[in-house]
Amino acid sequence: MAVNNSSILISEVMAKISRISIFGVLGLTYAMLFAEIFLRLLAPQAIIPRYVTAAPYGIRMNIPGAEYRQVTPETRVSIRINDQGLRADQSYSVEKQSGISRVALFGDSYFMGYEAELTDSFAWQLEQALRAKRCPVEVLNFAVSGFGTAEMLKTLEEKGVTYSPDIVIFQWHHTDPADNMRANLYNLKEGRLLANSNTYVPAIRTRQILNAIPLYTTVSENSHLYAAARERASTFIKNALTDGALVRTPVTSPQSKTTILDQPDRPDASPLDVALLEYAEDVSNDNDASFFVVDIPSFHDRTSFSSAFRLLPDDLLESNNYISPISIFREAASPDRKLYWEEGHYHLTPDGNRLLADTVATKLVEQAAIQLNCNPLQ
Amino acid sequence: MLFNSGIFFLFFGIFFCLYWMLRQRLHWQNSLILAGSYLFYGWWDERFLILIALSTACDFICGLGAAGPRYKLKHIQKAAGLLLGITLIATVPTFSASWIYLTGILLLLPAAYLLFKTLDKLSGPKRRKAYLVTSIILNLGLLGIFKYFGFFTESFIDAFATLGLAVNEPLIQIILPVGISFYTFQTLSYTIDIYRKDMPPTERLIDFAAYVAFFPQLVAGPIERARNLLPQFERQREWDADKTTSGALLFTWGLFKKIVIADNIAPIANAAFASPAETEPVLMFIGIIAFAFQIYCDFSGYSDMARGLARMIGFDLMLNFNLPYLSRTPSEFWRRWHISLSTWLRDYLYVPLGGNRKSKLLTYRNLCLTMLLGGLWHGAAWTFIAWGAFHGFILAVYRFFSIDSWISRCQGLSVKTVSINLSAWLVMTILTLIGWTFFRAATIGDAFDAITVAGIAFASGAVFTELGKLPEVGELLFYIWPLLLVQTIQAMTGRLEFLPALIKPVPQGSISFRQFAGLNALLFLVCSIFFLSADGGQQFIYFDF
Repeated sequence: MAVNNSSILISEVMAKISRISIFGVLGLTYAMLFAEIFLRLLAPQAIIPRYVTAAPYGIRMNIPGAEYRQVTPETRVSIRINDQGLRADQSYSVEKQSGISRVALFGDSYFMGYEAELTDSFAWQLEQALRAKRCPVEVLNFAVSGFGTAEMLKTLEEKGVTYSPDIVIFQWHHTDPADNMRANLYNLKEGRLLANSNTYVPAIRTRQILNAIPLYTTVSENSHLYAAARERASTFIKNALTDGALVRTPVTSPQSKTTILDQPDRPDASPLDVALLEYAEDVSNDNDASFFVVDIPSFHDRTSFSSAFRLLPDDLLESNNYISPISIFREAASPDRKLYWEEGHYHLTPDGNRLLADTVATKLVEQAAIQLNCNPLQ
Repeated sequence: MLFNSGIFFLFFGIFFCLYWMLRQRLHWQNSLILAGSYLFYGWWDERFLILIALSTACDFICGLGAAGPRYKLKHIQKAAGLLLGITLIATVPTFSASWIYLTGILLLLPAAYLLFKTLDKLSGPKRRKAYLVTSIILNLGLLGIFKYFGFFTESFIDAFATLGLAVNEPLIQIILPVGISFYTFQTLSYTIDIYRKDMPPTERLIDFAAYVAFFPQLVAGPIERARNLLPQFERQREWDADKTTSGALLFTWGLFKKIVIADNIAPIANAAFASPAETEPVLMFIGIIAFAFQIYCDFSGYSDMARGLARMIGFDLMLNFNLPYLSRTPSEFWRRWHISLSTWLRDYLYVPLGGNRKSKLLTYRNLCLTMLLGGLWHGAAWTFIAWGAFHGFILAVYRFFSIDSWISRCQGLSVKTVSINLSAWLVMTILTLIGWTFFRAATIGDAFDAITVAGIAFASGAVFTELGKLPEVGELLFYIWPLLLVQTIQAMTGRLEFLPALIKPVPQGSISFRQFAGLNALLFLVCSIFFLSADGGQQFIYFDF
C-alpha cells in the first residue's frame, strides 16, 4: 500500500515537473519569438557577425575563406576573406610583383571595411586613389575587427613583414587605448616595451564551438534578438575586461595627467600606446617600409566629429606620418551627407571611406612618392 | 541608487528575500526596512544620512511633545542614540574630512536636550504648541539652508548689483540633499497631525524612522501622511503573491514610462529649450509638448515604481497621478497631478490660511500664495515661482468666473456638453503647456521667448502645415503611443491599477484572451525596457526638488 502511494506520489511529481518544463520551454520560446518580432518591427538591430579565429602567433585573425553578410537597417553587405585571412577577393603572393609597391593596412573594423562592400572599403578606395595618382600599388588589408594597436603590431611582426610592404599604415581610433590595456600583450618597464603575454584570443574557443553548430550560425546571421543580446554581452564583457586591466595597471596619461580610471570609456593614450606606435614604426623602418598612422575621427552627428589624435601627445603628432582627415571631414560635413552609418555600428559609409582614402592617398604621395613608385609624368 | 540602475536591482533582490524571510518578526522587518532605506539613501552621499536622522530624531520627540503627555527619558535616549549612531556611521569612513559633522552633532545633542527640558516645563497647550513650532522651525530651517540658501543669497546679490552695490558671493556652497523636500514635508505633517489630534504619536522609533526613510518613496514621493503609512509599519504584513505580481507590474510600467518614454523624448525638449529665441517655431511647439510628456512620464513613472515596490513588500502608497492631462480646469488638474503634494498644500497651507472660508479676496490670495509656495517647493529658482504664480493666477481666474462649477454641471453626451468639455480640455491643455514652459525654461526670459516662438508657430499656421514633416513628431509619437493607449483604456474603464488578474492563470491551465493580451502587453513592456531604453540612464527630474 505504502509502495503504491509513494509510486503514485512520484508519478504525480514527475507529471507536474513535466508540465512545468513544457510550459516553461513553450513560454520561453514564445517570449523569444515575441522579442524577435518586436525588434524587427520597432528596433531593428545591426547584424554584424564577426568570424575570427586564433592565429598561429597567438592572437585573432579572420577565418580564411569565410564569407558572410552584414545587415543593418541602412545597408546590406557581403564580406569575403581570402585564404590568407585578408579581406580581399584574391590571394597575394609573398613576393612582390616588380614595379608594384605594397601598402599594408593594420586596423580594426574601420580599416577592414565593416558595413561596406569590398569595393567601397577604405583599402580598395585607397588602392584606386593611389593608382589614379599614377602610383602602381596593391593594398593588403591585414585589419581584423576588434584589434587594438598591440594586436596590429603583433600582426605586423608575425605576418605583415613577410609580404615586404613599402608602406605600413596603422589605424588609430579612440577605442585603441582600452583595447591595448585589455589585450595585455605588452607592457612598459622603466620606459621599455616588453612582451607581456603571448596570447590574446578572447572568446575564440567558445566561438569555434558555437560556429560548428549550423543552427547557431543561422541564428547569429539572421536573428535580431541574438544580435541585440550579443551586443549587450560584448559591451559588458569589454567593460569588465577594461576594469580588470585598469585595476592591474592604472596608468597616467602623458597629456592630461589624469589616471585612465577617470575616463574608463575613452581614456587618453598612455605611454604604452605611444610606445606601441613607436615600436611599430621601428619594425616598419627595419623592414624598409615607411610608417604612417591614420586617424579615424569619432562621429557625434552629421556635422560634428572629433579626432582620435586628440588622445595622443602633441610631440608624436608633430611627425608628418600622422594623417588626420578631421579638417576634410569637417569641411565636407553637411546635414544631408552621411559619412558614417547611423543605425549600425557607426562605421564609415562608402562616401566616408572614399573621403578618407583620398586624404590618405594625397598625403602618401606627398610623403612617400618614391616608395610608392609614383610617376606623375607617365 | 536609482531605481533604473543595476545596483538597485541587486539591492532590492537581496532585500526582498531577506524581508519575506523575516515575515513572522515585524520588528526585524521594520529594522530591515530602516537599514535598507539608509543604505539606499546613503548611496548618494553618506552625509545626507545625518540630516534625515536629525529630522527623524527631532520629530520623534516633537511628535510625543505635541501630543500632550510628557515623554520619558528613554525616548530622548533612543532619539539621541539614533542620531549619534547614524552620524558615526556616516562620518567614520571619511573621518578626516567629515569630523566636523560629528562635532556638530555632539554639540547639538546637549543643546537639544536642554531645549526639550525647557519646553517640557511649559504647561499643556503651550507645551504642545512649542513642540510643533520647534518641528516647523527645524524642518523649514533645514529646507531653507539646504535648498534655498544659495537661491536667496544669489537673488540678494543680483538685487544689490542692480542698485550698483557689489556684494561678495558667500564662501560656502551647499549641496542639495536628494529628497529633502519630500521627507521634511512628511515629518512636518506627522507633528502637525499629532498637534491637531488627527493621530496619536508613535513611541517606536524604529517604525517612525523607517516611515520617514521608507526607500520606495523617500527621494521623490508620494509624500505619504503618517496617518496612512505609519500604521502599516505597526501591522503584520502577509506575503501575497497577487500583490507582489501587481506591484511588479506597476514597477515595470513605471520603469517603462521613465526609461523608454521620458528619457527618449528628453532630447527633443532639451534641443528646443536650449535656446528658445533661436529655435524654429514648430520645433519649439513640439519641444514644449515633449517636455509635458517627459515630466509626466518621469515623475509619474517614479511614483508608479515607488508604489509598485511598496506593494511588493506589503505596503499601500497613495495614488499620486490620476490621468492629469485629461483635466478640464486648473482645480481638476491639481486633483489629478502630484496628488500627495497638492493635498499636502491644501491641508497644511491653504486651509490654515483660511481657505475659501473668508472673503473672496482672501480666497484668491490664499490660492495664489499656496501655489506660489508650491512652485517654490519645486526648486529654488524664479522659473518655479513663476510657474506656481501662473497656476495660482489661473485657479483664481477660474474661481472668479465660476468656470469650475459651470463645467462640472456639463454632464452627458449631448453635442453641447461634449463640445464644452472638449473646449475646456483644450484650453486647460494649452494653459498646462504654458505652465510647463516656465517650469522647464532656464530663465523667465527664456520662458517668454519660448511661448512667443511657439505662439508664432500657431499664428503663422506652421503648426498645421509643417508638423507632419518633422522627424521629431514621428519620434515623439513612436515613444508615447503605448502611454496614450494605456491611458485611454484607463480613462474608459476607470481602472488605474495594474491588477494581477491579468496574469493569474485560470484553474484549468488555459488562459483567457484577456490574460493572453495582458501577457503580451507585459512582454511588450519588458522588450521595450531592454531594447528601446535611452542610452545612459538619466536622473529623475524630481530628484532635484
